[in-house]
Amino acid sequence: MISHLGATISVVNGILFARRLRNVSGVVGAASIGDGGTSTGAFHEALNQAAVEKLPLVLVVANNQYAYSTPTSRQFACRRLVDKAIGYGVSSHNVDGTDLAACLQVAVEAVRLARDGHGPQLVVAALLRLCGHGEHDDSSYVDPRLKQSLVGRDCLKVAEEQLIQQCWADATTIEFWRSEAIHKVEEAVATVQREPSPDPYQEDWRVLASAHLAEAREDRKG
Amino acid sequence: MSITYLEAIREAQARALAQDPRVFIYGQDVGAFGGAFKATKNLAKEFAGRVIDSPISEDAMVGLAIGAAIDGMRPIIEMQFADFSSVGLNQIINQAATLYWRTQVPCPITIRLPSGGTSGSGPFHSQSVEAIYAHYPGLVVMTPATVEDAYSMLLEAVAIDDPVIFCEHKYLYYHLKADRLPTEAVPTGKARIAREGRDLTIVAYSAMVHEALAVAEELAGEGTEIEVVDLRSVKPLDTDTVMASVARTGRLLCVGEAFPWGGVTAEVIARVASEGFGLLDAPPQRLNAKDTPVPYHPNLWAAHRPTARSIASSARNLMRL
Repeated sequence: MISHLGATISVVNGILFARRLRNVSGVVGAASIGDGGTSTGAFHEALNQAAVEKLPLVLVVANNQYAYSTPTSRQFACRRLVDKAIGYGVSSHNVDGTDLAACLQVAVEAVRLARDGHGPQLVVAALLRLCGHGEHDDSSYVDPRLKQSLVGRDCLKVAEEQLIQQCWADATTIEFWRSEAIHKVEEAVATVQREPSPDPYQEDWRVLASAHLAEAREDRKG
Repeated sequence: MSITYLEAIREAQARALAQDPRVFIYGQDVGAFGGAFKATKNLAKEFAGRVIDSPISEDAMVGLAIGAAIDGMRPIIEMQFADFSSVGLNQIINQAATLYWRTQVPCPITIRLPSGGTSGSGPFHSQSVEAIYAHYPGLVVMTPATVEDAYSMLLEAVAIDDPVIFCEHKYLYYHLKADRLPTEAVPTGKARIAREGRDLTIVAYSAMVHEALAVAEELAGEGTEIEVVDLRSVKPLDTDTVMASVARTGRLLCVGEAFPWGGVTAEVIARVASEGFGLLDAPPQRLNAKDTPVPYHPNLWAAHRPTARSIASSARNLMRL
């Protein structure tokens, strides 16, 4: 689901809950959300639920400083977003979201703790949204001081430098990955553009999995 | 042996748990306590680890059920009162109801809503919310009026591959008894002729079926033969059975306990008026609760919702038109 923020966390809880009911062990579930989503009731209910059930959930919050145009100062009043974990009785991890190596380390640790039965892990990664909320948004509201600060670094550029430093990849390989990714996106766009548009007259307009419970066709078409 | 509507709901859940390992029950106080109305009495003991207390988090309760259903389970969610389901509305209408449409992944969850008014329960523990859920595509909305239907339709709800809103009426919990549980059932989607008559059709569902039957008995003494149609499920709505009854009687009165604006009675009348106008000998009528919150005081409550007395009055008026 999109835009109804926080609503997917409890769905991940449900999958983990189902696995436990079937005695499947070693499972870890992940959900991700932004800073704005942490203000929803669904976030609160789901994190509390995961804590009560000690579910192996890793909940990653990308704190990119803005929810659409709203800065974090209008979103929450705790000193650090990650401090919310204390209230839920869950483990917390604060990390520089622009630092790939730090993120990797924290993610590995959070997954390990969740898998080892330590309950939900709240990971808060700070970074800055470097573009608008959507194509229509010029993000003119972003504080220029934030853009100049460490949190305003381009995390992809930092990651590239780290990959080269660690000798995990060289510049040629990274360039290959980049062109490969662009090619995949372009190919997907081209494929979709070639496909015929759906025909409303051929559409069965079926909303229920149980075909026998659908009302007469005329009624459904309205 | 005699079994109440409430016991039938408990027995249906016991049977669902016994015959299908994918079934579990999740809700507030449903575990060792057995539920606010005892609809899950002893089930936590009989089915260890599968009848689980939830925090007071209706949104997360439904979200968890959706996730479990995606992973192959058949969860039953008990809302403590139908009124509280509004807190989980987003998960029900935006997540559960759209899942199959968006992804072709079925969402077999059952959400039990203890519904309707009882004397002295007031505005937050009395509401009938079936129309809200029926409005949204992707949900099945059941409104059983008999002990037999409470049992068989709840079992069917668990078996159905779609989200089911199961509106069980709290007034019927203790007041309605049957000799035994049914061994076979009319499938969901078919309305039932609860009483045959040739002069006037009353369409009702849930507790209002019994008020309508009392009126039919009373007016039979005055020479008016009322046919009572029990919708059983408001979605799907069995328009054919309603239309066939109106074809026989020429007169239609729809009765619902919910608020009057829009809703099930309006939907039934809209369908009959648009598709069966020629069948009508008089303007179709509807009777609902008043357009105010449900009052606490027993005197006000008794006048707020339709009763045998107000239904009889409407029926007599309709016979004069």
